[in-house]
Amino acid sequence: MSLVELRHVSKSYGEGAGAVHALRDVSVSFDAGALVAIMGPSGSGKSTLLTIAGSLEEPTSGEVLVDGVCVSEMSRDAKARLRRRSIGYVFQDYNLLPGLTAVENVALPLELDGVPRKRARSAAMEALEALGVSGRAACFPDELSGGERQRVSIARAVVGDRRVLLTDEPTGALDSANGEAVMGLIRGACRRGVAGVMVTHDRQLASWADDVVLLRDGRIVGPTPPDAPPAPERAR
Amino acid sequence: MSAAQARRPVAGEAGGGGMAARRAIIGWAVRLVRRDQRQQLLALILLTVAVGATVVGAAVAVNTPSKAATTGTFGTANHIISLPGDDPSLSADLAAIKHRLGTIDVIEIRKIATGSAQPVVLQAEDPHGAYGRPMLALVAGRYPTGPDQVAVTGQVATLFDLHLGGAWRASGRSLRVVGRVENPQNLEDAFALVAPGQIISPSQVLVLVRATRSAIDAIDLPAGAAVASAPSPAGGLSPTAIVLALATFGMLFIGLVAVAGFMVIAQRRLRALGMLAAFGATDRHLRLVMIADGVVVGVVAALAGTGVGLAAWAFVVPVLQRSSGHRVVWSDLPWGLVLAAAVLAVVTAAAAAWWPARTVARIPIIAALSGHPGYHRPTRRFAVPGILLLTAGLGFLALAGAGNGSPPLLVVGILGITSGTMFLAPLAITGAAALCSRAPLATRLALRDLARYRSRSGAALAAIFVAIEIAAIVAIGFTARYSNPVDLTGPNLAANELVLYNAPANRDGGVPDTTSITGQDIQRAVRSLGASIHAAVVPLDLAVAPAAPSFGGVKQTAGLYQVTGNRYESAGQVYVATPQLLAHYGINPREIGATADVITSRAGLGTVSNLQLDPYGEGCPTAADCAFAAPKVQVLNRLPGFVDEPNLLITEHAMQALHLHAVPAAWLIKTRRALTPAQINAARQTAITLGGIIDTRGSTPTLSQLRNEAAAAGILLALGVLAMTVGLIRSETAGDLRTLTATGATTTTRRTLTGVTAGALALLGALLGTGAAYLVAIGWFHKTLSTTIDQVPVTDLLLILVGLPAVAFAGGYLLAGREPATVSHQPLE
Ligand SMILES: Nc1ncnc2c1ncn2[C@@H]1O[C@H](COP(=O)(O)OP(=O)(O)OP(=O)(O)O)[C@@H](O)[C@H]1O
Ligand SMILES: [Mg+2]
Repeated sequence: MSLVELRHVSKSYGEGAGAVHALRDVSVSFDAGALVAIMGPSGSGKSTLLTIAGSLEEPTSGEVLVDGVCVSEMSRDAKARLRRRSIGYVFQDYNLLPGLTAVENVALPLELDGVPRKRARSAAMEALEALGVSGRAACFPDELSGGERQRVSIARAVVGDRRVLLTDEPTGALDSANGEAVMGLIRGACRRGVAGVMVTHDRQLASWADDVVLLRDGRIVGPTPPDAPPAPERAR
Repeated sequence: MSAAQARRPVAGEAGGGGMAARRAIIGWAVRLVRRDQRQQLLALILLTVAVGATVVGAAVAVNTPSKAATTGTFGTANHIISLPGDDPSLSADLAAIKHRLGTIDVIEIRKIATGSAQPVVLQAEDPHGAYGRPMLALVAGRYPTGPDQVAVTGQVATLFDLHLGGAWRASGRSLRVVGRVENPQNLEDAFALVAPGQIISPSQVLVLVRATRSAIDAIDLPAGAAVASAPSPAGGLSPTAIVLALATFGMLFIGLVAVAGFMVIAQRRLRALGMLAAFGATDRHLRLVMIADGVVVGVVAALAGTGVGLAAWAFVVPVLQRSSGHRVVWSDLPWGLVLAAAVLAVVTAAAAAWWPARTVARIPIIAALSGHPGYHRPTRRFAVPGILLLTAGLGFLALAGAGNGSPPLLVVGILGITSGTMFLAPLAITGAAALCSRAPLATRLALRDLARYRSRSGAALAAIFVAIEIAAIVAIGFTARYSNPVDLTGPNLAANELVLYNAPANRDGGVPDTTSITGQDIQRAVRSLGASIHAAVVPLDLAVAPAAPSFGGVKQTAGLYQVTGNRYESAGQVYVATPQLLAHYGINPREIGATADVITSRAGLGTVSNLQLDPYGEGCPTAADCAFAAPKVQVLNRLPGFVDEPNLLITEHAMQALHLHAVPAAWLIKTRRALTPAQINAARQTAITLGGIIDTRGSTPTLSQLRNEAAAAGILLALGVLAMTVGLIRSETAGDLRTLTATGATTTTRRTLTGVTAGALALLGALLGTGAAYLVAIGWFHKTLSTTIDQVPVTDLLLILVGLPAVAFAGGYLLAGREPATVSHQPLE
């Protein structure tokens, strides 16, 4: 069953002649337990696709369904709830909140959801442990290295029972060893039943995915299997 | 779908996450307050000062009104029954009163001659009496208990050179001074206290009671008895209400400045707030971050302000005690109002944070994440409501100015014009940016950024504009007020002048029918005073009509009035233009027109219509036969201009025409330098022996002083707002700067950018502020425009319109050198 489904989604910025069509009539769905890689040249609309799937942005036309429910019909609060409860998002530049320690950053979505502080913290510690950064739990973001920040933000994206994990170039700033480690984590989350989506430029990393979606000028130009292992399951 | 564990549904009902979520958000917000300390400083300082000023203001307002006529006379009683001292059945009468009314407090009084104008009262009273206790306090020594003991007030001790333990011969008895006392409710009260029953033949017996008037009237009192009632609490606005209203207005303005500050902070946190939203925070959570910040600032300001205010009040107490004439106790302040000020500060800060909170919560998440300040509605949209508000404000002001100046209408009018201008402020910014589209790079970039970050610069501009508007309204308003030629305002006398009036009535333009002291004695005493303090002495005469009726033993003198319907507005004291007085001011009698009735230094008086020179003062037998309409007014600049100086003189010509004669009434005493306390005291002593009074320079400031103070306060406030916002606006666009530097721009470019940003905001604020102030003035004074607005306060306007932008530019230019340091930390947010 598809957890997130985009139906005929278009997105354009601006109006008239100067309008930029970031996405044109994109239909794609992401299933539980599968990892989909999104690839394409710079400016092809990859990040836009991800933010729309994560309900961070509204499509200009078309609809987004999460668990069969149309997102555009949800209230702002319901969407916020969706984001803190079901969708984990890892940004290209690993956005952590300044002023909060690593563990507080990870616990934040849970606390926002009303989980008592203590339980939220222990869940956050678990997630950090799983990612091997529990030793840096009490550090503030500006005291962490790039790789550590990335891992903390992945921990925040998977903490709780998230069912969708959206990552935008999660390994962009990491060396290959760290990149592989992060990919292992994402892969592991998918194995537990999470629907994973990953934007990447790296064919090597794309090979971790079950399926690859190729974007060009805001259009899906077809799923191209990466060089290495063939996709076991199709994403669309 | 693979993992089919029992999980929560993905989409579900909306909701905030309850207390736990709020606690997490507030915890984070409080940490952010510490991070963004510098940005909060101005709001914090202003609120602290406001709370402090309210505390001091409230304390002063409550403790300033004289208590001499209330608790200073009645103590805790509500009536005083006065019995004649020679009442043959005094003790029976007292017993009867006691029987009917219960508790009574008896004070026996006897006046003793002192040889000076002020009599001293010998007073027999129980220091622990039921009602009189608040009127008596021991300063030193003890209360008199025995037959030959006395305690005196400071004045009596000075007058008779008495010391504790010394002896005093008074009214044929020898008394030993055992204590120093005072009436804490009226420190002017001069008396000598003896033990109850120690006055053999009192001239008067006062019985303090607490009873209803009807209960007192039911008692059969002896002939010559009188009943005085304590004044009921004054109607109208209480001083605390006025202070509270002022504090509310002050906080309103500070709230505006704080909005600018919080807007900057909200923009700084934009990316963090975007992230928070991306992790699933609701709009309410996002607003909470900012509002919590406001509450923290408010609470800190409330606590600090209360502390500062209470400390400052401690310093004011002794000063106030001297000026108010009663003992002032530190703890005697309106605690309710102090609490209200603190609460008001918290509410103001929270409310000021609310608008920026709302604004950032509405910015799309992706825009917030990229630090984009959101999308603006086109500024044209604001023009129509802005102009409507301006027009409505003008209308209200015109209504207020046409009637008797109803304060609510005035306030609504000013608010209308202020908010209307605020709506037009964004338009002014975009307009300025458009105007400068061909300017050199730095200027163009600075203005474009102002327009681009309008939510931030708009709030700053609004705060600057209101500061300037208030200053300009004060400057224009005072100019208009001070330029009213009929109702003169301003300082009463110069610092080197005093006026000695022969009798208190002379001061109010009256002449007592009988005087015990002859004119020659007065003249001699005043001349010797003049000689002893090295002062010039100029006699001032009032003009009296022989037929003028007298009221209460006082004859009214000739006066100048502006008559509107049946309302008579006095133009103030009119003295006789004696040759001596003219000579003192270097005026040759021939300079005075042969037909001039009045000469004056007030420039505007010559053009005032419906003036009447009334030989009988306000004591006209019938209106028809005393009005001397349209007197001829001649303006002579050499005459002095202060309120109590002889600035309005009746000429010899008018004296003859109206059959008036000159009566010596007062003396202008003029030293070369400012009068010393010793000189003033010498004059006061002379006045006492003559039964007269003196007047010295009061505290009313001159117009230019007031205007300059208002302008300076407005400019300082505006600069404060600028300092807070400009640095931030520039540091937010630090990326541009780095790119600029990389492409070869010099430090001068960076400095110019900041300087122009500050200068442009200052200039726009100054223009809008003075513009709005003039609109207010035009609306209010529309009927008398020619005489009120024609005097433009040029210096102040120059200071505001040129000085402020120049200082802002220079400050921005000089301080811009430090910017990159603060920039390095930005990217993480
Ligand atoms: N807020 C915006 N306003 C205008 N145009 C935008 C905006 N956001 C994105 N675009 C445009 O939409 C197009 C797609 O952008 P998007 O960020 O999705 O590209 P991308 O595939 O993620 O590129 P990259 O690999 O460089 O990150 C681009 O041409 C971009 O310029
Ligand atoms: Mg991208």
